[in-house]
Amino acid sequence: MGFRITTNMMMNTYKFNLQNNTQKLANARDMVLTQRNFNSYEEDPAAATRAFRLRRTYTRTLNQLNNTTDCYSKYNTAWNNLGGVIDKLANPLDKTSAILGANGTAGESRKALAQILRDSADSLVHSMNQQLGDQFIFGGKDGLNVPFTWSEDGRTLLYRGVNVDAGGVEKPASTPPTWLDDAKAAGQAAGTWDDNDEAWFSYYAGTSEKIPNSDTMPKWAKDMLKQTPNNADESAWMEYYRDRDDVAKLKTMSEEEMYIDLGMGAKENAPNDPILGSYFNGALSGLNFIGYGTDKTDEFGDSGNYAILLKELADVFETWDEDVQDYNPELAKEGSSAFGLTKDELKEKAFRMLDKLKAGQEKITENWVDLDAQSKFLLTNKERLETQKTNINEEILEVEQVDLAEAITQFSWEQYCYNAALKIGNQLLTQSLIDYMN
Amino acid sequence: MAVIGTFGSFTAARLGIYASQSALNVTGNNISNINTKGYTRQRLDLVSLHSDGDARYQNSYNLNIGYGVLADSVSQLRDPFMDIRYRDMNSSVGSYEAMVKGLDQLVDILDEVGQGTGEFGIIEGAFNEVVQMLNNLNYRPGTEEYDTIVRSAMQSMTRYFNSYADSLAVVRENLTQDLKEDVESVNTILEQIRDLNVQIRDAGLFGDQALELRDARNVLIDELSGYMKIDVRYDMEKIDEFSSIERINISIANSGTPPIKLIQGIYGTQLEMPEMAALRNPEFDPSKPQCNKYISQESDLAKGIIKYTNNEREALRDNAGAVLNDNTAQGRLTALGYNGNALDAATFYDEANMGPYLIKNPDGTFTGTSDRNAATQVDNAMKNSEENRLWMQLKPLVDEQGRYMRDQYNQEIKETVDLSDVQLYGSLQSKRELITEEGEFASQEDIDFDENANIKRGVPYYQHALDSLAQQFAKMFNEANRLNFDQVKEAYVLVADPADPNQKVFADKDGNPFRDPDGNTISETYFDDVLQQIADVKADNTKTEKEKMDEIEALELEAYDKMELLRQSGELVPEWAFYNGGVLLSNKGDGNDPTNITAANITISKDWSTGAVRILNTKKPDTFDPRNPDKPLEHTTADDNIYHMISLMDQKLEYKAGTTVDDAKGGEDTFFKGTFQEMLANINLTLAMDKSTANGQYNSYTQKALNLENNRQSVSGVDLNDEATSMMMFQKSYSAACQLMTTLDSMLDKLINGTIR
Repeated sequence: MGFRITTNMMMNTYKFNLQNNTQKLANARDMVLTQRNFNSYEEDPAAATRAFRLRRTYTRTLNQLNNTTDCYSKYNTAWNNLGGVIDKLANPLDKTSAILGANGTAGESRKALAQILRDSADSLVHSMNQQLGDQFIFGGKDGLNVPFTWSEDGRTLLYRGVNVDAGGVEKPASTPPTWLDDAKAAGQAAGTWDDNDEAWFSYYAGTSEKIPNSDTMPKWAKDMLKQTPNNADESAWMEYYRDRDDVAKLKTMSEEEMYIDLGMGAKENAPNDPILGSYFNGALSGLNFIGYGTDKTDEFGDSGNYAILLKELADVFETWDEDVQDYNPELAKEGSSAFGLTKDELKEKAFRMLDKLKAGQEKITENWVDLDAQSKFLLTNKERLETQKTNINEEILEVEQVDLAEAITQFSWEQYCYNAALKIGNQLLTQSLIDYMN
Repeated sequence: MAVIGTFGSFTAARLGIYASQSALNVTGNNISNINTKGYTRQRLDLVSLHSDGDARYQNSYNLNIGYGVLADSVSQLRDPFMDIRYRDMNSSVGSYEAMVKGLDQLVDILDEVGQGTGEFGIIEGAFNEVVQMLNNLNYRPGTEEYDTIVRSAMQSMTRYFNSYADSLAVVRENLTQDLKEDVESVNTILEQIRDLNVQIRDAGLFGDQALELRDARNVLIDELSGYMKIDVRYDMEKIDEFSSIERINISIANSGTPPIKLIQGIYGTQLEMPEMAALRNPEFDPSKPQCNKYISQESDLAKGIIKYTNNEREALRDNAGAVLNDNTAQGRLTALGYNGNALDAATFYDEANMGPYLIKNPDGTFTGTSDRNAATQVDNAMKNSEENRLWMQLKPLVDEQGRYMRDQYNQEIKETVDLSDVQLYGSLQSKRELITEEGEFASQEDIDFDENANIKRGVPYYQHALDSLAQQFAKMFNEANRLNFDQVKEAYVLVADPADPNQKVFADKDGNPFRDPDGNTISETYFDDVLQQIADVKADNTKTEKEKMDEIEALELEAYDKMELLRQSGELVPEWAFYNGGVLLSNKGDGNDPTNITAANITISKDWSTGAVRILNTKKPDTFDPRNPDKPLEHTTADDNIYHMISLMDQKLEYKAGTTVDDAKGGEDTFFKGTFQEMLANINLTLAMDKSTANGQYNSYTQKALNLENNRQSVSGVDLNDEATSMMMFQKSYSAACQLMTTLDSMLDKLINGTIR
């Protein structure tokens, strides 16, 4: 400032400072009215960025919570279903083991038991076809179509169109057709033959038992399986190849995954290729619960599927002749699995079936308990997410919300300063020498 | 002189009274003008009246007594140095004020803090909504209602983008309009200053100081200094041999030697920002001399009389200092070396390349020219044009009658002076920069005109950044919703190529080879070839990054075009019969074209809005069943692609300037890497930082300007205490002079009336 202070100088400075005070007052008032610490990125860029980041995490957590709830209801329903099934199966099995163990005295019950066993098989499949909403629980990746269907004669069980007993066809003894070798030669000539093709080649040829994923089936394999065989040998081989293909399909279907984000850090290796462990598999495949394929542990080639086993045992029991109090092969109906077996074989089969059924029951119970463990995990996850949600909410409030007491205090102070400024202004500008001249 | 006569003493008293009365008038003038803007306090200059001469007859008893006081003149108390400092500061204030106001408008549009449902933000909230809906769909793939919900969420989001982009365009247009009005204001001020100069000069010729007019002129100059940074200098203008008069020169500060003149005495210029302007040559170097440009219109080459302005004369020296000679045969000037031989034209400047303006040739190349009228005209200040360069120029200086100023050789100066991109500084320049600067998206040409162009950010930067985000979003989702290139040949039915039975081509729905609108078939290996070509381009080290980017983009564009045609007319194989993917986001609501998407035109594609295209659940085909080749095993609830889309929302992606603005310098560099929402936050943060800096500067400069104004007022402001003191002083001297008068009167009365009876 110069050595001379004029009226206008004081006026200008006063106006400028008063404006600043008014601005501060307005800001303090805004803080009280909006209850926010900041109202734009400019006021506090770091806090604004943090606030939005927290809100993003909040919505993601909400999504994960919803997903967890949805998954939980699916698993819970599945668990309840299976629990009911296991209970229902316990009774017939106990009766069966009682009958067989009692050395054939309670004869007339066998036929009735056969019917019960058949009904149990149907009821088992029925449970596996349960829906939640409009999706089938045990349908794996094909939740809109009925998973298990019986063939017309009621003897073949299909899972999404594939026979659950696949794997029973033996390799024919005749020389194989040249289809496989031709495809390999063509592929190698074109330079497109890679490890995947080699894996499928060995699998079809029967040299390798490593089952490839049916999603990776190469085009030449599809073309090969579409062909029409010309003679009986080729037909036999075609059946064999198709059966191998079915086994591959069943295995793939049992390993299907539905990717759900439950807050385990969802990330992908590459597009459509999520990192294992960063997602939750929401798919349940019925095959894993009631078994599939052919039992390769003995030479009988029995099915691995529980419902089929129940029906086969029922078939055996239906050959029981009450008059003779023994199995009668002539009573076996054509087309039933008991057809063509001798009396001893029938007897032996009954015991074998019972053992397998008992083993199968244990397996179902195991899976049922596993479902329970998964459900519990989902519940824990839900609690974790709820806590996370609350914490994030608190953090957001901490960043954004102003402490009302503090804001009001600040506002009062600014108002006081403003009033003081006004008062001074009033007194500052009035006096000059002229007032004192006479 | 001794004797003043009997009644001579009255003179002193009378002069005293007159002087006091005048001083009181001046004081009264000061007091009544205390609140007049720009008023400088005036002061009556009093000089003592005396005679210096010698008496004709010497008298040793002479007493040299003064004859009284003369009111010599009224002068102003003003410090011109203060004015210079104040005006410098004022240009900074003007500059930052304009910037703050402009950025404020942007903040109103882009800032989402505390807005939206639940204060989650508007576009931020829309992104969150999309993720939520995708999660819902993820759990229930294959249900159309949930697909529709995702579509609505995305539609809201695209609408927000459209609305933001439209608002930004409106802001740009408003700022342009504002700038035009500012140019008009500047012109009015310049005209008023010039007219005042005429009045002041006339008054000065008659000996009048014209203080009030000078004050008015100072107020106008202060106002002008807010618009641009100016230099005010005073020099003397020769009227005739014996007398000169003060003249004011206002020129643009830091505009070199000689400076660019705005006002020179009674001559003033007008600022122009025409709607169309000649395209300038960014490589033009005005320090190089030019031949042919400056031949005066009146030059009469046939007569051998050539008249040049002094600018022209300087321009006619080449780098070696040689003076040009005229070559009447060609009508051009050629340079002569000191030995008299003609210099090679190549050592001179090459007009075809170095002319200040450019002509765009039909083949896309440019040639230089010095003829402003022949140059290609570009949008300069057109309504609603995105290409406005906002170049300004100054008309030749004219007086109030419209006569041109003449140079020292008495030649009229009639050239229009172009103002470069960086010569102005003040609110005009700030507004220009807000309307035109593109920041990271600036092209090489922009940088040639202004070397800091890639760190200045105006509305176009924010428009491009928003476009960049919209483009990236559309690109990633469209890509995710379509087949990968290596899957196309698996997905569609192939038939034998009619041209070559060993090859296969894609079939149409009737089983015939599919033909595109040009009549060509698409070979089975086409998409694999495209993949290979892309890989080759990436591996090619002879190309620049930008070239690679452009080539890959072109290859992908063509391939996606063909994929779209196939989608509409090709036949899917049974394992892919579920495929309902396609373009999700396009640039028009009634089409499916995903090219050239910007924030203003992004929208849901037509096919998605009609349901022909849906979110693709999975990119894995159904399982082939050899027993039923036409009915594969379905995967109705496979969700890998939806999951992929969800993870896209949180994937860190690279943003490159070159994808949005083709000629951006450094377009292949990544200027930001982050998720979609992080990019939006980044745009806001950049804006916040810019605004915060500008605000801080504005406050600081305002404070400094206030201090300087106070300093000015301290010298030239009216203080009531001062004036009151003066009033008292002159009142006393008035009474004293009156008292003297009455004393003299009574003395003489005694002498005249009392001595002789």
